[in-house]
Amino acid sequence: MYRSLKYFFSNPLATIGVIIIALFVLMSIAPWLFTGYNPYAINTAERLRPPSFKNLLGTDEMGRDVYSRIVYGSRLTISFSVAVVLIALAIGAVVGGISGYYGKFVDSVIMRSTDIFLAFPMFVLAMAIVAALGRSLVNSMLALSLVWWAQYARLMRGQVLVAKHELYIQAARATGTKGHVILFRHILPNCFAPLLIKTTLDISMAILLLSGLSFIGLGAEPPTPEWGAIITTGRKYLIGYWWYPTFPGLTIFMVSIAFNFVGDTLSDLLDPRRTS
Amino acid sequence: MKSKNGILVQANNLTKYYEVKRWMSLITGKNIIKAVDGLNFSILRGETLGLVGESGCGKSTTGRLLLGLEAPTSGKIIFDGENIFDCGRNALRQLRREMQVIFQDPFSSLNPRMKIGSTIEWVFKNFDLYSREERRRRVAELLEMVGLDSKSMNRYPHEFSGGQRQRIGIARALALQPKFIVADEPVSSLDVSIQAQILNLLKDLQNEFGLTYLFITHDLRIVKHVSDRIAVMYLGKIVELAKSNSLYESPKHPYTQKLIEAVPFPDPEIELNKKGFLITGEIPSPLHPPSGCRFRTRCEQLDPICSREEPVLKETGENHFVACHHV
Repeated sequence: MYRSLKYFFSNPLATIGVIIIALFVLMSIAPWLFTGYNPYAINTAERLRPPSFKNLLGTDEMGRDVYSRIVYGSRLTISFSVAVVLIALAIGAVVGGISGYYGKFVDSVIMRSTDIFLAFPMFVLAMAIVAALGRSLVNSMLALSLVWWAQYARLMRGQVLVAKHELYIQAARATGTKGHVILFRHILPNCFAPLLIKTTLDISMAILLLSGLSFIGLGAEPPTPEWGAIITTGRKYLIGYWWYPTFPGLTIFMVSIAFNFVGDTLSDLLDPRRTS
Repeated sequence: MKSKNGILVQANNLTKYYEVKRWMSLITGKNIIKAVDGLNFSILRGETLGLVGESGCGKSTTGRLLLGLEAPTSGKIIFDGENIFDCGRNALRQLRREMQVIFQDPFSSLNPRMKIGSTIEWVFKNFDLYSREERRRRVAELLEMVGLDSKSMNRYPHEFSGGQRQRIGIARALALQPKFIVADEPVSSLDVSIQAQILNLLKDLQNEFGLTYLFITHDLRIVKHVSDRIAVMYLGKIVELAKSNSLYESPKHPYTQKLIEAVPFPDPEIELNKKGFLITGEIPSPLHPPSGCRFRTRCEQLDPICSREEPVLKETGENHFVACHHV
């Protein structure tokens, strides 16, 4: 364990990534530590002010402090993205595990279902579901998870199929291990690595997707500060009041890439071919 | 002990066919690999039976069948007087306490994410044996027995060398104090110097615990050293079965003769003179074995009868069985 951590933090990109993620997680849990302003406080006298000592990243068209809106926006964005991916992971891993381990009819049924879900472009299907169920954050979350689980199921199933035939599974059977113990103690732990890596990369993608949904008006409703929503309204102010959409955009970029760095190094760490 | 005549394991007409599933089979007929085709042999309590043959002749499959890890297509396996497939899944699992296996590949036969102490401890947990402290104590004892430091029980498989991992595999096989151990090419993937150590360890353990071994290997130099009797397999059938000494002194089956001759001898003059006698050709595909005697495509003593009739394993001398028309 110690060696793994040493390897992880010897990579500068991964270290930066972890610091950024930690920062934003802290921000989402205790936003008051980062800013004293109320992100909803309207102050039309101070509208569209450029970055200054008073408003670090400027103000928007209602006079609200952009920096504070980003800080409070992290709450929504991060909890939402993590939730979506974790739900997809939970459903997908279980379904994929069952499919791979038991095979035959169960496997066929499950795989055809995933075929159906994977046939749709994720964003379009999510849009359709949200449009049908009504515009709310919970619905967006549901929509994305519904589309995403299939990827995890496929991945887990592939891993289980390989793990099933490994020699140590035969050895476990030969030493009298019961069926369910083999599945939970031997097969699943050895299949999890790729899923973990996918999770970190997917969180980054979920952030972008949520921002995208808000951007087209299907995600968070105003005046909720959500990074994509801020960009939506801020778009028309790009010329002349550049700070408005730019900073939320940069934030999305920063957090996304932080997760990417972490996921990348994690994949190196968990690669069984690594000699250590 | 249920059997009275000293036989611990017996295989009666053991067959295992694998079907190669192709949609073309609907048209061209089923493709069947006869991995094990009508094996009859028995292993006596306390002895080591060596099982030799080329890769793909069915030796490992035989080992798995004897352990009950796979079900035979037909035939019976009798362990200590009882048919192991008659009794039901749970009874078969209980039977695992009496027969164990040492695998060929020490690298992939251990779960890479479990500490080796845990891997061995689980063997006890599977049968709800002993308390936690007692289990730990026994794991330490087993590791010492195979020549490893008991403190290594907290390490992971990748921290050990091949020879050490094989020792761990042996410790695991011994945990339940079985009567019968199938050693499937236990030293094939190890350096020659380590091979000797492991073989000596296996022999010592056999003497100490009265174990019965089925020693599967393709290495003829080793099998003589460890076995009491040897069975030679070719394409799923036993072609010769005899005491080690008899086999090496007077091999009766042409295949056995060629095999023994092919073993390198550390004398260049003798080696150079061998050229004309060595075995030729390749092992035929198990999908389409030759009719009659399966060895006839590589045999020099061909007769018309060899392509018509399959030779049966007959006794030709004291406890020496051969399947050949010319003996």
